[in-house]
Amino acid sequence: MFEARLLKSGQLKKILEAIKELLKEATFDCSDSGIQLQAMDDAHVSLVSMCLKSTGFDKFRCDRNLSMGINLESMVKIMKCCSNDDIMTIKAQDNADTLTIMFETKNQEKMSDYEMKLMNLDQEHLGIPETNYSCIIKMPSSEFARICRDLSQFGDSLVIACTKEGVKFSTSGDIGSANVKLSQTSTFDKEEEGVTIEMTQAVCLTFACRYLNLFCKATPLSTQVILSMSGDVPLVVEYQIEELGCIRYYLAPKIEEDD
Amino acid sequence: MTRKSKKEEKFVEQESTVELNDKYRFLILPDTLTKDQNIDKEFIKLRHPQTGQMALFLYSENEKKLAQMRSLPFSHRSFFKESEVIPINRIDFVTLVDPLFIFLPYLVKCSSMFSPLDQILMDEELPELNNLLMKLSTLTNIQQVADMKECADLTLWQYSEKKTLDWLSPKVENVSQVLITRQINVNPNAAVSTSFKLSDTKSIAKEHYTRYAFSLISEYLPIDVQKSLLKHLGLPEKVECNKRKAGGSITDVNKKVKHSDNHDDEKPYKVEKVVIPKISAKDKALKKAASGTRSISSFFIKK
Repeated sequence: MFEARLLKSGQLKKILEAIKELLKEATFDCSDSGIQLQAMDDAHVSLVSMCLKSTGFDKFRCDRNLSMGINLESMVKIMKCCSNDDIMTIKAQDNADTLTIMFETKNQEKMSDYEMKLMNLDQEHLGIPETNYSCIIKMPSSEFARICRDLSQFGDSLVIACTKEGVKFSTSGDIGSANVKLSQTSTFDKEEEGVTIEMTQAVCLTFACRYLNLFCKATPLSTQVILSMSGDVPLVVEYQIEELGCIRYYLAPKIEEDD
Repeated sequence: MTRKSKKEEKFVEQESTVELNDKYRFLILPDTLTKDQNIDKEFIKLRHPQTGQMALFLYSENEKKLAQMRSLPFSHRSFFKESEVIPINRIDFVTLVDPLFIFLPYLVKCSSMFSPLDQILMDEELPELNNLLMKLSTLTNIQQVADMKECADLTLWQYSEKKTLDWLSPKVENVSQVLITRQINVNPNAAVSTSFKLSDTKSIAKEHYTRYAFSLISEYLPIDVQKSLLKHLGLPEKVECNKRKAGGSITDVNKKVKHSDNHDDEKPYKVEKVVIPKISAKDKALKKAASGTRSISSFFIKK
C-alpha cells in the first residue's frame, strides 16, 4: 500500500496550482524514493517534471511501485477543501482504483476524508538527457514572473538573450517593443535575492510567452527560479520546493517568428 | 404520376443486404439504374440530410448514380412469378438523389472557414462513411453550394449560403411548376386527393404551390438551410400543415436541373487530420501560443 503524510497540505495545493493549467491529467509515479510526475501539455510543446522526495514527507510508505492516473481538476477541487496548514495524508491500496485523501487540523479537532477515482492514463515517458547548459540564470522567482507578465502584454513571443553583460528579455508586438535587462547583482544579502549568471557561451532563444506565464504559477513554491538554456534545446525553468523536491518545466524554443 | 410509368418495374430478391430483412421486396427503379446490367449497385447507409439518422441509399459506382430508397408498407399482397406466388410486404421506391443534399449538413457544419474537402466530408461519429462521402463527391459539383479557393496545391471549400439558395430556388420553382401543370391539389385546407383534380388552378394562390414545393424539397435540407430558403423565397414562416412524404418528386427536379454531371476537378487531398476536441478559450489560446514551437518530444528520447 501507499501512504504519505504531509504536514503542510498547502505545499501540495501550490504544486497543483502550478501544474493544473498545463496538464489536465497526469500520472503520479510513487516509489519508495518519492513521488514523480512527468507529463507533456496537450500541444506537446512543454514538459512538466516534478519530483517529491520521500524524505520531505512526515511519513512515507510505498510497498510497491504505483502509478496513479489523476485528473488534476478533480484533485484541485479536493485540495480546495483544506486550509494550508492542515495535515494531509494520501492513501492508496496496491492496484487500487481510488485514492483517499485525508485532512486533519493541527489540533485534530476536524478530520475529513475524500476519495477520488483514479484513471488509466496512457502516457509516454521521455528520457531527458543530462545536458551541460551554456547559461544558467538564477533569479528571484517573483522578478521572473513579473517580467513574463509585463512583457506578455506586448507580444506572444519572448526572446531571452544571455550574454556576459547580463540577461535581456525582449518582445515586440503591435504596439511596439519592450526590453528588460538584468545584470548580475554585485552585492546581496541572501543568494536567492540576487541575479547570478553562469555562462560558457552566449545564448539567444525565443519562447512562447503564454507558456512562461503558466510556468510562473509555480512562483509561490520558491523564492528563486533557475533558468537553464543552451542553443537549440529546451529551456528549463526550475523551482526548488523547500525540503520536498523540485518542479521543472521544459519548453521547446520557437523555430519561427510569429507575424 | 406519369414518370412512374416510365420506370421499369423490377422484382429483386434481396439476400446480401443484412438490413433488408424482408426476403422479398418490390423495388421500383428509375430507368437510369436499369439500363445496363452491371450489378455494381450496392445498398449503403448514409446520414439523411434533414434528420441526421441513417437512411438507406442505392449506389452505383459504374453509373455514377446515388439513389435513395423510400419504402411504403404494402402488406397482404402477392405477386405471381411464373407459377410461384410471392408475398411482398413493402414497395421500395428508388429515386435518384443529388449527393449535394447529403453533403449539405457537413458543409454547413464546417462553414466557418475554408477547408479541404476531405476534412469537410468527415463524419466524426462514423468514420467509415468518410471514404464513401469522398467517392460520392465526384458525382456532383460542389461548386454549386460552396466557394472554392486554391491555395498552393490545395483546393479549399467553404459553404456558401448564397450559392446554395441560388441552387435550391430553381428547384422549388420547378417543383411548383410541375404541381401546377399536373393540377395537383396542394391547398392545405383541402384533403389531398389524386382522384379529383381541380379544374381551375388559378383559384389556388401560387404561394400555396411554392410552399408545398418548398416542403417537398426541405425534407432533404438541414433546418438552418430550410429557414434561409424560406426567407429567400419570401414565404412567411409558419408551421406547415401540408407537409407530406415526398416520394420521388425531389428527384424529378434533379433531373430537370442538370447537374449530375461528373466533375473530375475535385480530387481528394491528403491533409493531416486535425482532431478537434472540445476546447475552452484558454486551451485555444495555449494552442495558438504553441504554434511555431517544435514538439518537446523531438528533443528527448522516448523510453
